[in-house]
Amino acid sequence: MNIDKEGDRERLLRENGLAFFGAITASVSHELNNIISIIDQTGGLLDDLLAGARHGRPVENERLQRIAESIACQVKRGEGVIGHLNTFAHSVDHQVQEFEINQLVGNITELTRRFASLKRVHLETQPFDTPVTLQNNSFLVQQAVFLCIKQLLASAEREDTITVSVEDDRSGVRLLIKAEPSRLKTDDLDLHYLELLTGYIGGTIELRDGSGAVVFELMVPHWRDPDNP
Amino acid sequence: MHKFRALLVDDEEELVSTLVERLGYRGIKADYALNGADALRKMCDGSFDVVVLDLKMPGMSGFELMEILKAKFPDVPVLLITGHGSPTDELDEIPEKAYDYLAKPINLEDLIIKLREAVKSG
Repeated sequence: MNIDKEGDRERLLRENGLAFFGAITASVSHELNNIISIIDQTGGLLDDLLAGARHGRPVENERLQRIAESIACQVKRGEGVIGHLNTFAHSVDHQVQEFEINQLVGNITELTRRFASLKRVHLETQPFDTPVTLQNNSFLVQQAVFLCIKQLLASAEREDTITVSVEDDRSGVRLLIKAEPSRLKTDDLDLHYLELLTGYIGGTIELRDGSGAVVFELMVPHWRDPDNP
Repeated sequence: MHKFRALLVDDEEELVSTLVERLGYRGIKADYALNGADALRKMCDGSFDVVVLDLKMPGMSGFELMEILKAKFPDVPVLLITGHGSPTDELDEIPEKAYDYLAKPINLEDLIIKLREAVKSG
């Protein structure tokens, strides 16, 4: 893959960005579909119970209360998913914007959770103790985190844990995306695009394998225009 | 048509438990399993005439589970549940071994029709 030319770089960023956006929205649409399905069937159950009551099969108040709680719970679940998706969608509004890194990492981790759940892998976050504000391309930062998680998920097994932690750094932030235990076959990795992406946002990406864990160390500095460094 | 038993497999417990209850009100006996291992255990323990399973489940996927079910219980028809549209959105092709598919959100009356058709074919 020749990524030296500026045109190639822009094309790769655009194509991979769209693929990332598509992967997230497809996953969220499945989640929302599940929520709608539950509300749909719960509403249908309420109809069934009321129809039964009209034919002399009484419905207990507690049962109705549980159904109301179930619907409220699913609505809350849906609100959470939509909130994360909305924040994600607005991350493409500006090439460079100010964001709080703990929130950004929390948001993309939530949106990636379904990918981990399907493999029964635990996905956790360790935010920094205090809020850390950064100026950079928030969409690309999320994409880098997502791609690191995706690479680790490819070799992860049931009950493994992937943790995304945030550390403050003088020049920006350090994100550690760690999989335990270490199962990653480094020969299978394709880091070309991750390196291009992190290079574009002025950062670096390193992979460490040892001590029972494999770790992507992603350095994200404050934004410097790659075309006018 | 003779009475039949259906096994519904999906990791969304509120969804499958509600479907089982609603099928019960319509005279159809059903049970549910939340994952592939649970489904295989229930299939071995009890006699089911048809299985309905979600394609996207944690751990063993619906597709993997169907392969095992068809090897162990070749006469039991399998209906697939897809997240959106046809299974070709999620798989390269509609699995030959599946009797048919349903897209979420499931319409209960459509499910009952497909269950009856599947049992009749089995």
